Amino acid sequence: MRAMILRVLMVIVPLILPALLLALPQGEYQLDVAMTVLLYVALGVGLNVTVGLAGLLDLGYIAFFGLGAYATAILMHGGPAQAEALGGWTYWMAVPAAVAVAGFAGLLIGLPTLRLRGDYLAIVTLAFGQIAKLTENNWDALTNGPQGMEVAKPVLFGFELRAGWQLYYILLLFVWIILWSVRNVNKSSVGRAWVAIREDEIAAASSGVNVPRTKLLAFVMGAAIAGLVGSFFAVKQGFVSPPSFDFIETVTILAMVVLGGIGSLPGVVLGAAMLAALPELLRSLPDMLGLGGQFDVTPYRMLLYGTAMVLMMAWRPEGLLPDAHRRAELHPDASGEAPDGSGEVRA
Amino acid sequence: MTGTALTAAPPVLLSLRDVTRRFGGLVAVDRLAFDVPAGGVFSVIGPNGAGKTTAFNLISGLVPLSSGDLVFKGQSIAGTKPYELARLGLARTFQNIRLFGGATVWENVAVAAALRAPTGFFQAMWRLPGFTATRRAQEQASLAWLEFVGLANLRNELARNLAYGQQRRLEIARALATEPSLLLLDEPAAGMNPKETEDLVELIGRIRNRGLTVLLIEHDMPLVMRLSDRIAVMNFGHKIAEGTPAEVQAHPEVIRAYLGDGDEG
Ligand SMILES: Nc1ncnc2c1ncn2[C@@H]1O[C@H](COP(=O)(O)OP(=O)(O)OP(=O)(O)O)[C@@H](O)[C@H]1O
Ligand SMILES: [Mg+2]
Repeated sequence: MRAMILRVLMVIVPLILPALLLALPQGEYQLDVAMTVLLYVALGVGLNVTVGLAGLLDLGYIAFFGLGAYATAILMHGGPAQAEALGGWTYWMAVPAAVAVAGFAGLLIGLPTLRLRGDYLAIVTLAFGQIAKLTENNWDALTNGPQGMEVAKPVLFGFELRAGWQLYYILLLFVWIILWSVRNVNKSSVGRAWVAIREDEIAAASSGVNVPRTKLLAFVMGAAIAGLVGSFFAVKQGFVSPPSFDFIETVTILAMVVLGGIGSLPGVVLGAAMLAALPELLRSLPDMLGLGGQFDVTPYRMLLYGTAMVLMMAWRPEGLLPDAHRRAELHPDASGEAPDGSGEVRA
Repeated sequence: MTGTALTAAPPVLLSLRDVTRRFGGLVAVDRLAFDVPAGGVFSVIGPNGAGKTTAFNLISGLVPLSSGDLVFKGQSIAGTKPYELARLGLARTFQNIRLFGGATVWENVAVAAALRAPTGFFQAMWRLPGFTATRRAQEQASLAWLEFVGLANLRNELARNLAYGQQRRLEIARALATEPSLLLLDEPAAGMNPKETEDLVELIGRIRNRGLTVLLIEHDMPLVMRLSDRIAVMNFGHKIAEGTPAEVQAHPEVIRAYLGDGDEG
């Protein structure tokens, strides 16, 4: 039953959503909001791999998103100073490259730090996020500094995909790939190893889990997902510039993960969708209440997030849809005793 | 390695060579040396605080050596990481039970079973060929080991919900799932009632019959004397005696160390 509802929510609703939204007044704008929500869902799911599943606090998460976006922009157009050397890639070639760049950066950051205990990772990733932003701001030859870079729309079979709904379906495809991949890994022995590390790192190591490598997988996977989403962000906006990749974005995504239920895939999807859609709903609220355009809630976004966080911590610290440990049960084959111990897992 | 007059004796599986560990000014393990022959049960006994658990932590790579050397299957394992030791065939349980409490019973064992039937990351992520085979291998091994220790019917319970004696047996199943040749058990009978202890004796017997070598720390003296082929006795970090159960029981140093110790059998 729950699986059915989930399938409808995750597959059918997003599939027909553009048709519904475009029928509304200001349809293009509504569709853009839907894309923003999906973007945050994808980012939330990626951060949840690192923070929720493997228990690693990554405070530089948005930098990997930025790396994916910049890698896409630079590969498609080249930096201002070396248009010859780089650039000229199609979007479809730039996407895997953006994923690889972000993942490789995750490897470089994670490799030396994940062996350390405690909060070193949080500090190192925080610093990495700041360094990444400074680099984007100052490496004019590559990133065009604070002015940012223009990015063309993707081209498919000679057609430029510039309509909102076309971009929406690219994003939806990415989101599905991300959700499917994360779910698969989490249900495999890799996911079990993450659980083991979270529960008891020493016992996990003594049971043959390569703890640094398993943590690194989660860290790199989170970074690569952020890179993939970043590469879409670049073409959707048609523009990349440093302010999009500020620390506050990491905090926002972290809030989404915590709100929905850290470690829980449906929870994080819900949390991200809620917090991403909330400002837009609030923006139209004064209109609906007949207050007119006098009252703009946008400046209070962070205040609202903060209030939501405090309330959550007080009332439901495990999140809206907590990781209820939907127990993966082991059932021996229906054909009787199964003396060889054969079995299968059902979620 | 030594190559002298070893004709009749079984080969040495694990050799402790002047193994030493200091914690600040305290020498928890002091030039400890003994050879564990392959096959059978080798026990380490001694009063509380003698350094038995520290010796296990040194052998299993959780605590680095201050000095000395450890040789397992003919190669030095000093400085080897715990998961590498598991791959080499060394597994352990813990005096203070360390299960993955929030995971199910079978998942606890499956974590360890993945060592011998590993699933690749991309294989898992995109269900590439071979994924199902490794998954089934892990599940089958988990269930088989749970049957071996008598917990198969509880496989879908959360580990933390098991009774104490069951948790101890689950820890053994998890250790066995790494397919070790040497199994370290740190006080497996602690907190068990007589019935559970009797089941444990039978279980350790079956483990030994599979050809595994068991290195056992235990305070339950009747159990130790029944199960052990050989015993090393520790006190204040030193080895004070070593021999067969009969030899050790008659040893004057051992009698002195245990005088006034309530755990004496
Ligand atoms: N990590 C540590 N830091 C400091 N001292 C330690 C540490 N681990 C053990 N010790 C000390 O080393 C000594 C030996 O402890 P150990 O746990 O090895 O004893 P044991 O023989 O296993 O005792 P028991 O029978 O009570 O389990 C004790 O004095 C203990 O306090
Ligand atoms: Mg001890």
